[in-house]
Amino acid sequence: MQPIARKLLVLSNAVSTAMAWISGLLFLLLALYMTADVTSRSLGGPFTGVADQFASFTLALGGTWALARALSDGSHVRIDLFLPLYGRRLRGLAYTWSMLMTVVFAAVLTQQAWILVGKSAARKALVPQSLVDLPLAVPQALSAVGYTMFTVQSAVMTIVALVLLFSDHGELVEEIEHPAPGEKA
Amino acid sequence: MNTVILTIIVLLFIGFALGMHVAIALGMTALVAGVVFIGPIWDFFGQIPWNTTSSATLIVVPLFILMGELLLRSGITEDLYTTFAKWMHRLPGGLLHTNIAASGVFSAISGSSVATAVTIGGVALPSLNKRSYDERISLGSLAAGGTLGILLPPSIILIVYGLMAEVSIGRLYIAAVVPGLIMMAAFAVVIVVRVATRPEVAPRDSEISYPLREKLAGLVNILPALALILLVLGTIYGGIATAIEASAFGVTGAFVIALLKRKVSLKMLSDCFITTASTTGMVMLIMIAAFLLQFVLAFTGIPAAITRYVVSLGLTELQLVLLLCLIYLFLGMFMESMAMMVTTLPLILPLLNSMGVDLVWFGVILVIMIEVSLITPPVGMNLFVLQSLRRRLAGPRASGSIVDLYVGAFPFVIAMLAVLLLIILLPDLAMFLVETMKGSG
Repeated sequence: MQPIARKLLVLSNAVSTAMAWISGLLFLLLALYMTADVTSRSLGGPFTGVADQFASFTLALGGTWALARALSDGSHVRIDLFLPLYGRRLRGLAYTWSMLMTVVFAAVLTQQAWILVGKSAARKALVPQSLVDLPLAVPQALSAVGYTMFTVQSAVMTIVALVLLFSDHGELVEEIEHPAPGEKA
Repeated sequence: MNTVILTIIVLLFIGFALGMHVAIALGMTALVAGVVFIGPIWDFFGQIPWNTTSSATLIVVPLFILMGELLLRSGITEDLYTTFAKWMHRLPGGLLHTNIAASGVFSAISGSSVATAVTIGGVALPSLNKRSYDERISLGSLAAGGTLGILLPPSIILIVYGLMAEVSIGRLYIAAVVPGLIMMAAFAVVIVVRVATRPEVAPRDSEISYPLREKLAGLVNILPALALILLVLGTIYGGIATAIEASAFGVTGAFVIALLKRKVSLKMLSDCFITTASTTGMVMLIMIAAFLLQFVLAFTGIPAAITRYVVSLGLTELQLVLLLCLIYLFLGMFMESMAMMVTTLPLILPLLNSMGVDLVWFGVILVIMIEVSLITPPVGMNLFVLQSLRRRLAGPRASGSIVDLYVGAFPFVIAMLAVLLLIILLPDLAMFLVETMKGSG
């Protein structure tokens, strides 16, 4: 693989992993907060009443910030009914095509996510039913960052796949995805 | 209308034939079909993903996954298997029952069939081979046991179904409990019958005996995890907590168990965070794409047309459900479980609604069909992962063909279909717990 393509992939994987780590941490913190809040409420103590809103923000950030890492470690489920019937070279081509389609879909999601942020900011929309006046554009922008990284990751993986294909190493294309720690669903 | 349907089918087929990610195949189909047949629908590619990812209900996905990851890394798998093995090794079928029981409990931790099959298989296969159990029935029991992962709470598939069908996830979980237990009993019957007709498939461990003290010590090890599972389900059933709150309790409980077992470290937490995030990312993208396709389909009027056509056939509710089961049995032979569900649900949900079918009951039926699809050839995800595990353990030259798995799983497929028929004919088996739930209305 070309050194620059390899460096790009390593960098992109590192950023995706860091974003996924933050997502996971937020999920744990949310669970601890919700447990304390619900327990306090059940025992007649004080409760914040914003648990659902925090859950919504956490997912908006965590769910989208995890997309890139899921792509890099091969967690996104593929339909592999026909793939075993192809030779390795053909599988490499199919893989590259599927990555290219991922770039297109991710780019559309990213563009539209940022347009949504712009619209919310322009009409000064606030998060509905919120205890504080939080602009809706803020969580939407955090979500858009996740889509942006998803596009970057898929673009880098496509570039690497193309480099491998054109340097006669098409059989290595499938190995661009590397497994996550532990077993996956 | 016919052109739209044909275009969508062709686009999905191309996507699947080229090995595209499920979510991308669905999303690109929605994009192309939407732009061609509806017009500039770009705005919806911003709004629908935002509505999906900011839905508080969906938070149960990462939370239940995180609960499972924390429990997994607290060493529960080995404890579960060795404890059940000590209690069950004298039964006819011995360790084969252990496979089912351990898979059942592990399912209630992981919510994933593939994870259940691989994890329990990894612990069980070496023991089974060492004790000369018949390889086909060993693999079959592991493949079948693994399918419980999507039927028993906290099944990820049930969450996705609940969100798409707009039914309570808590009610779905409770509805799946009894069918899940019946399924485990049916698997046990398959093993007993098999061992009765061919005793050599499962050698008896009559010379080994474990003192009661050792057996009880094993139970103490797995008790916290069992208590946590019961707590999560109990709070939903008792109306004390919503599914969201129960999932948060589950994570906190799992974290405390891991702390008490002194398994928490930065590396352990990092692995949990990253695996949880990756799986969540996968589910979220499929949900986004499925909702986009659902929107395009609804806009073009396809589900309404299918509903009108099927209603005109004058089928009864029972006939409709049986027909859908046949369709899913066929699709399940070729399609991946999540893809099968999210591709077909937008088409059949309006139909089920118009016929007045209870969507909680149908959710259980659908998940059993998906379970069947996991162990039926030629495409059965559990069969594939177990074959891969078998090769990894024994080496590619030493291991046999995947046909061993097809043959080994076959009796369990029959048992699953029998349970399915039972749930269809006696809906109360799934629904009576739901009807007694606190706050079920």
